[in-house]
Amino acid sequence: MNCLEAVENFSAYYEDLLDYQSLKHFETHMSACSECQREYDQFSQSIKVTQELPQIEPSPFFLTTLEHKLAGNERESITLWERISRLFKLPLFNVAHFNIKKMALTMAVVLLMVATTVTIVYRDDVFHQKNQSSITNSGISSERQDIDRNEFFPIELGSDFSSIGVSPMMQQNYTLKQVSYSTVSTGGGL
Amino acid sequence: MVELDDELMLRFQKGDEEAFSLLVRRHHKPLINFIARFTGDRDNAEDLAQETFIRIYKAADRYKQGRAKFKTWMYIIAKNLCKNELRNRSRRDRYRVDNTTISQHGNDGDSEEIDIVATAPANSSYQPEVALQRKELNKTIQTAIEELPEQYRYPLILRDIQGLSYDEISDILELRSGTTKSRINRARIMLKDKLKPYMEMI
Repeated sequence: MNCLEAVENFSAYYEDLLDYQSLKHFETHMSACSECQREYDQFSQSIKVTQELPQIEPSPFFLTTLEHKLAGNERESITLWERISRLFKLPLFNVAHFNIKKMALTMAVVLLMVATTVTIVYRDDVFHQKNQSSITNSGISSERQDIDRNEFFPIELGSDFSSIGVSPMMQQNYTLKQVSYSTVSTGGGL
Repeated sequence: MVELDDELMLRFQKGDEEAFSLLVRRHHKPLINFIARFTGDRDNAEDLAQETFIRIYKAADRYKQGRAKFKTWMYIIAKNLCKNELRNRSRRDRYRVDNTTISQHGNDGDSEEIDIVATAPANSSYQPEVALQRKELNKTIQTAIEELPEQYRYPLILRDIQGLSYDEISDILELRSGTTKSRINRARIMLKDKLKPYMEMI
């Protein structure tokens, strides 16, 4: 440790805040450097005399004068926004305590949230559109058609439709009709 | 059991004026001390301390528990008032044209200085020479403090005169802990250098 470093550690040493290693280095330097020793003595002495400065007593009229001054003042009511913010523990945008870093961070978070929401909604729309077109357009996805066909055409019913070239939509309608005929009671009319 | 400042503020927010009165009685002495030591003007320090409490009174509903300690909030308000006061004072000094006239009438500006002996508590073993020496020393220290740049004067007063913790000082001055520590060390070294001629004598 050199003299400059020792001086930088004067307060920490005075207040016993140095860690073990720094304390050892500091004390080694101090024991060898009479200049730093003298400087530190004056340093600690000046702190002591400063701390011994007497407290300034207020005038006996201080409290009564304040009371009179307060009588002419009313407490400021807080705004509706502040009440809501406090209720939901939202961050306050107080112009008096404007903090550009906090403001920028908040704006970034809000923008990120908006961007995420827009992306999710957009992707959801595109997904629905793709689904729609895959249902109406028979030639696009044979895998998807197979799934649809298997849903609506049990193996024993659907097997012979593919051979007559009926589109899946028509097959679907036909099947639904077939099912309704077979399940609705005719009441003995047919 | 002594009520915490936060609890008193909560009571005041609910309309208990006595709670505010307790807060004033608890903090007005250190607050006046801080302002007087910072500005070097005792009379004006009382006005500024009163203004600080008026601002707290008016804005009490804005105080949020857990966000900042009452003491920190109070010192932040006082610090801003001190800053304004010093700015206004330097503006007034710049435009003051009757300096010479005042000096001729024996008023050399000392009326604004803090009379430490007058405020010191009575002591049975009172020795005039020692008191005079101490008065001179206190006056020298006060002048040395006033000569420090503001950025060093605040932390020094808050630490060595008001006895606040490093964390509290960091909150009041809105500084990082490391910066606060280095500023306090720097301020003490500057003060030591200013007091050096006097220290060598005693």
